[in-house]
This record gives sequence, structure tokens and C-alpha cells, in this order.
Amino acid sequence: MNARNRLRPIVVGVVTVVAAAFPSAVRAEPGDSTDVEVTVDIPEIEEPGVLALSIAGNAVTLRENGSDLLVRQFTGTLPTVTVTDTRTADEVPAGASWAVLGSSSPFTGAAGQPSISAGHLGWKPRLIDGGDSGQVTEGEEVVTVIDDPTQPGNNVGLTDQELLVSTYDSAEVVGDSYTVNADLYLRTPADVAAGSYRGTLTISLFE
Amino acid sequence: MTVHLPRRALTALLVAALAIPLTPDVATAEPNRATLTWTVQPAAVGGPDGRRWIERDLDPGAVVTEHLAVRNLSDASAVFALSAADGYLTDKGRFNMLASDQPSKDGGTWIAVQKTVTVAASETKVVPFTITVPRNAIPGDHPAGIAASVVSGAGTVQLESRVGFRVLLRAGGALRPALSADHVGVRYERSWNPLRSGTIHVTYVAANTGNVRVEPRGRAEVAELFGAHVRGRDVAGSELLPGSNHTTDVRIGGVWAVGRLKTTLTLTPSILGTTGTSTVAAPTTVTVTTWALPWAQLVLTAAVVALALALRTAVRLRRRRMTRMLELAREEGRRSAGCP
Repeated sequence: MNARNRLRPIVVGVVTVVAAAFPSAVRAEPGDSTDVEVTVDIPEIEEPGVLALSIAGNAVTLRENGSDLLVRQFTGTLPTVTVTDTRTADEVPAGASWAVLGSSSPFTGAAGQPSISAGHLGWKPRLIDGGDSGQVTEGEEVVTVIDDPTQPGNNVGLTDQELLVSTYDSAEVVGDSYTVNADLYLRTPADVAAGSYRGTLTISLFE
Repeated sequence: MTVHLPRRALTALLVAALAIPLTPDVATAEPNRATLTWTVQPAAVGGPDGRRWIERDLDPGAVVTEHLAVRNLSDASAVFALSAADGYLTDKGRFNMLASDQPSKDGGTWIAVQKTVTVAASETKVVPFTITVPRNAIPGDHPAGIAASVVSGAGTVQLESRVGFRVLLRAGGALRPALSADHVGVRYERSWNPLRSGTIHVTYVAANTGNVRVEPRGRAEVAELFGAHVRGRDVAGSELLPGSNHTTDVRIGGVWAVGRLKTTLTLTPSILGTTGTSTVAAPTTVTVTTWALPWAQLVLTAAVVALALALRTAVRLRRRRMTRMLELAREEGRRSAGCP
């Protein structure tokens, strides 16, 4: 008796938690006098859709990985970038196309040591979710100035605007979202001055 | 004792009940807190006005106010940095504006906007910005962009993420649309099947040498047999801002390699934007002459001739041998009949 009384709040607690976790479980209880009817009015979305960019807020830290006698290599991953297009095909102007581009500033030394040019930062974009249309593609790999090109002339680093992800016709890809990230690698000669460096990688979405 | 056991069991159940259904929620909630989603659109005072970008024709010395709307679609309030810079097209024809570490020299310097804006979760804020056209502005286009960006704090690589739109500014005065077709290359790609025609590849760099945004339109034609047979196709390049260029590759199929091929490329700059449709631009024409010899057909002809010669020789040899054998037989017959 005593034990049951003490148990009751716990049982109630469990039921509440389960009910909260499975809202449908409340209604599934037959003959329950405390049945709660939940009504939700979802209004028609009338406002026009948007083309939005999402970026995970975590910073990019490059860590030494795979250095050898001649080259020091620091790798990291670009936080996931998502492009969401909630527009309808009618809302997209004819011939519009969007792209996310990236470019890096030089890496400047915190203690006044010579900076490392943006040409030493390379990336390999990776499409995580390209949607169903197949019309959204990741940009090509860009390797650093001290690498041999893996494709004609791509050993320039992120000096000028390089593609992360793009589509050639916005109207074909509306109403979906696309995620992409990239492997980042900074490669320097082994005799680079030690110390901490910092650069800015700019990711831009324009249509 | 009788109480403790079920309580412990219930605690376990409680933990399980909490853990199982809530884990997926927690997993999605965690990155959501760190993820920021936003967009930037041209706007009127009341909010986004449906324009794709801002395009203004302004006289030198003019000062106008425009608006941009920053919409925060995340579930946390955020501070966005606002900036304007010179706009340009990449070599793949994508619009972008200069990064914050590169100083603007042109249209980007005409725009003044407040440094930051704080936008609450699921809110839209309209921010005014002014465009001041210098009194001595050169007539023509001065493309710029405006964007709202967030900068990640820590890390070796600071990440600046921006969303923006174009602000295409055209200063009044004489508009001069002009295009040049540079580095025109013509290559004949033959088919090794002698009964199939080949393809002409025309590559060229269309460069905007004028002062307005244009789209190159025109035609590439190949004349063979001294003009008796002409094949061609219409060409349309991507838009070009003043000073920018774009490499294009055009293929014309159905071309037979029969000597001299005269390839003519004609490009006319078609002005983009709100004004200047009356400005007539002269087309630029480049002609390249190449020679394409019908190797496959020559090889085929040689093979046919060689085969015919070989056949004839074989027939002759056989005939000669036959004659000789007949001769031998006759002699044999004569010998056996005349001299027993």
C-alpha cells in the first residue's frame, strides 16, 4: 500500500514522459477520460519562397596530418553548407542560376612571420545531398601550388573564386535543399616558419 | 527492499523511455543550435519586393536609397555583417563580389550600408543603404554586390559565409557596347569512318571591351568547296560584364574534309539591362581558314585501288599459269600421239 503510493508519482512520471515522447499514445488509450484533443491550424504559405544558405557554426581548425620530409600538410573539413530553395518554379526568373563560391585570403602569421599565400590551401568539395534532380553538382577539386595538377591547371589553390556547389538552372532545382562540405588541406614546404597562422575562407551564395 | 527493486527497474525504464524516443531529436537539435540559415533579398521599406537583384540607371552625382531584407531562418538570433563590394563574373560566368580583404575600386565604393544588423529568430529586417554616384562617374556599368555575412570566430581558418545579391549600377552617358572575339581556334575533328562527315570545333574568347553588360549573340559558319556548301549554327554566350571575358566552344557537325574550310564567326553584343536597347552595336567578325584533307577517304580509295590491282595481278597470274598448263598438256598429247 505504502509502496504503491510512493510508486504512483513515478508511474505518472513515466506515463507523462512516454506521452510526451509519443503524442499519439495519449489518444490511443481507450476510455481515457483525460483525452486531450490537439488541433493545429497550418495556414497556407503565401509568402514567396527564398533561396537561403545554412552553415554549421563550428570553426575550421586544420591539424597536421600526413606531413613528410618535404611537405607539411594540415587537413580539416569545411563545415557543412546547405542551400535551401523554397521557391516555386514560377518565382525563379528565367535563366537564373545560383552558385556557392569560395576563396581564401593569405594565411598571416600571428608573430609577424611571412604569410602563406592562399595558393597553398586546396579543397575537394563533396556533395552530401544533391537532391533528386541531379542538376546540382559540386565544384571540382583544387590542389595547391606545390602539388602536381590532378586536372589540367587545377594546382592554383583557393586564390580565385572556386566553385563549391552550383546549378545551371535554378528553376529545375527549386523546392529542395542541397548539402555539401569539402576536405580542406594546407600544404607548405617543410621549412615554413613555425607559429600560428590564420586565414579567412569566404563562402558566397549569389544568384 | 520490495520497493527499491521496482523503483530501480522503473528508473531504468524511465531512462530508456527518455533515451529512445528523444535521441533523434537531440541529435538534430544539437547541430541546429550551431547552424545558421539566412537569406538576403532586395526590398522596399515594407519588406522583400520580389526583385531578383537591384538594377539602377543613375546620373552622375545622383544619391538614392535602396533597401535589403535580411531574413534569419534559424531558431536563434544572430548578428550579420553587412558589406558591399565590386561585383564581377568568374571565368565560369558566376557572379561574385570581392572578398573583404580586397579593396573595391568601382561600384562597391558607391554603396554605403550600416556595418551590422541583429536579426531575431525567424525574423526579417529591412535595412536601407544609399548609392552615391560620383560626379565624374564614367558612363556605363559599375557592377557591385551587397551581402550579409557571418564569420566563425575560432579556428585556423576563419570562415566568412555570405549571401547576397547583385547591385548593377549604370551611370548615365554614352553607352558603348563592344565585343571582341579573341583567340579564335578552329579544329577539324575527322571521323575515321570514310562514309561519315566530321565536326568543326570553334573555340573563342568573347571579351566585353565596351562599357555595358552584354550578351554575345551571333553565328558560326563553315564554308567548304569554295563556298558551295555552308553549314553553321547560332551561338549565344553567357552574359559579360565590362572587362570580363568568357571562353566558348562551338561544334558544327556534318562537315566533309575536302580541302579549304573557311570558318566565320560573327558576334553582336546584345545589351542587357533596362536601357540602351536603341544603341546599335557593330558586330565583330573573325574568319579563319583551315585545310582539311580527306585522309579517311584517300585511305579508302588507296585501299580500293590496291585491292583492284591485286585482283588483276592474281587473275593475270592464274591465266598465265593456265595457259602454261594447257601448253604443257598439248605438248604431252602431241608427244604421246606423234612419237610412240
